[in-house]
Amino acid sequence: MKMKISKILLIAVSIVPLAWFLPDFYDVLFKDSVRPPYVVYSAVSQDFYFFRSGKKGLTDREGNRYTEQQSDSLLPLFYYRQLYSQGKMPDTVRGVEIRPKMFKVSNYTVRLKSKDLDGPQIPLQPLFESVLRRGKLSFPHDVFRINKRMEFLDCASNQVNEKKSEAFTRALNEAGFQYPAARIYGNPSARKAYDWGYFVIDSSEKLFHVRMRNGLPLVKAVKLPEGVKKVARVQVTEQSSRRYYALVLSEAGNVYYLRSKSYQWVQFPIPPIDVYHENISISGNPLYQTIRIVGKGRVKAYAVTKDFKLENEYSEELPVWENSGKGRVKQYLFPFELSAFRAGSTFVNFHLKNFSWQAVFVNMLFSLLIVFWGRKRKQPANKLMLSFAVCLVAGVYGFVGAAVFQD
Amino acid sequence: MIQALFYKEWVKLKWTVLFGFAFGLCSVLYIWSELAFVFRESGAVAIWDAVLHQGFMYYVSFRYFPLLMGLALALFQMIPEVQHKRIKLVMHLPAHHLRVLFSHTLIGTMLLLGVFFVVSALLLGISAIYFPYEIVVSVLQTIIPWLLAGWSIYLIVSFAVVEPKWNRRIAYVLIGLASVYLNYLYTRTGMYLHSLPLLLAVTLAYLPAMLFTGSRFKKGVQG
Repeated sequence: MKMKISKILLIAVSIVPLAWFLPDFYDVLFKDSVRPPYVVYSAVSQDFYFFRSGKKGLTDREGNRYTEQQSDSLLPLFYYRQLYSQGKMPDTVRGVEIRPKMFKVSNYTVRLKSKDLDGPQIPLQPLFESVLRRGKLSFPHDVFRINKRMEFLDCASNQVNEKKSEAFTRALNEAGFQYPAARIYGNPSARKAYDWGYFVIDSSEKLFHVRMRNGLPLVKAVKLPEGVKKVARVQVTEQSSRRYYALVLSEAGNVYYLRSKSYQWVQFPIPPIDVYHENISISGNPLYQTIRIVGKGRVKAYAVTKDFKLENEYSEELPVWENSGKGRVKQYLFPFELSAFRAGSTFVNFHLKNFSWQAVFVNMLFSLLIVFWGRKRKQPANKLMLSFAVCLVAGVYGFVGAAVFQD
Repeated sequence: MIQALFYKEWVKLKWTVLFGFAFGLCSVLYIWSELAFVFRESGAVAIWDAVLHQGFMYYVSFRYFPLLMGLALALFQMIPEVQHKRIKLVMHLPAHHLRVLFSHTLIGTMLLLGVFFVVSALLLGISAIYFPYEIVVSVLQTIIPWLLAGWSIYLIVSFAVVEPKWNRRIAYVLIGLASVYLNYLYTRTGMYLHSLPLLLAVTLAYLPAMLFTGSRFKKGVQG
């Protein structure tokens, strides 16, 4: 009996690594990753164009290819460096005067990956002094935590700085903060032009803006946009235009900018995204913001004007490898697989996925194989029942496990 | 009976345990001296920033210590037993042979986890000198998968050594290595936090494995 338990445990536990390695090995051998096209928006023709992997140069919706010169004139706001260097940059685009300085102020890119919603993070952050000394940011000598209060820890001594902690805790209290902090968003790096501090979600899902100016706390409770109950993500932008504090994704998938100084919300006029499965990137130029969304087997793109009006949109279904020949074969071979990651997280989170009923035929085959093999070795029927059942459920993994750990 | 077994195992394993402990101690002292050096050279702020935001793992050289320790303990504990089939004597003691075998596994586990506990506590202790508890906790979260890998490899190699057939032995070790490899797939601070229960369950499932190969040995399966 005890021996039987140990045997069953061994078979069960051997299925775990096999369900990881065998499908992974199949992918290494046969999987071709589907590269989404890079979508750009032309301010001249007011339509989308594409850079596709495997194809050289720019193409349009119909697949027509453009030469370098044609691309330059179609996308002056994209190829402005090239055009300026050749002296071919137009003075106006769509009636708006374009000056070289505008690119420095208006160009930016923000990329938000769905997997970064959650992940291992040590909850200690440096709070930068927002008033620049000699024109640059310097890394502070302490880091903060927000648990029962806001505490600053001096790095060199590993001790709490009581005076500073009390001042910031008081400021948080006055703003109505509910301890502890649920999530803290910011850019903890000194390699940026200036600092806009942190956006902190408190335990009641309210949003607070925490900064330090001349060593003193500057805390503001920020009212969430109408209808937003939970914030999924805040990306503090710190762009050179200083127009916005942060890009905010609501749990429902709406995308907002928080205007600097006024704390007013502007919503992007696009349908909500799936924050757990879709990556979003936004790039701005002097006239437009192009939003690209990739995920769930689809590429979507939106062209939004500077005053947040939707001008054009595009959507394309991507070929799904699982529907290709090799992808289908995989579904017949493996009844399930072990996956390390869940959507919206960079934690290792082992779980079974890709359950496939098509694998039942191969499972049956392995079940019969192990029974025939067992009969040949004159194993008693009751012992074969176990192997049979294991192969029926766990297919090839069960077969290897049961074959290795038979009596 | 169990006390006598423990004494027998201790006499056999004391040098392995002491040597493993000394090795672990040296590796922690090495980590400490390196840490003290980088604090002197780069300053506390840079090191805190590196640990918090750039994924610097000052204790990464601790990664394979549990694995080596588990492997050494299993080999030094079980190889003398199967040489000249000495384990047969153990199986004819006045106690159930499976119980006696399982006691061997438990005694080895106790010694192994004892060393792991002391060495890990030292590592966390030196971390606490330089860093706040958030970082110390993150170190613990990161080393637990490595410690479980060490325990697993001890259990896997032990039951594989007792197996009489060579081809089976190799198959066990291959599957065992694949399962231990899951603990090393990714090296980033605290990444395995949500998978610790599964990794523990996998390790515990190997605990009675000795009964499986032990009874094959007793039945006299020929190698």
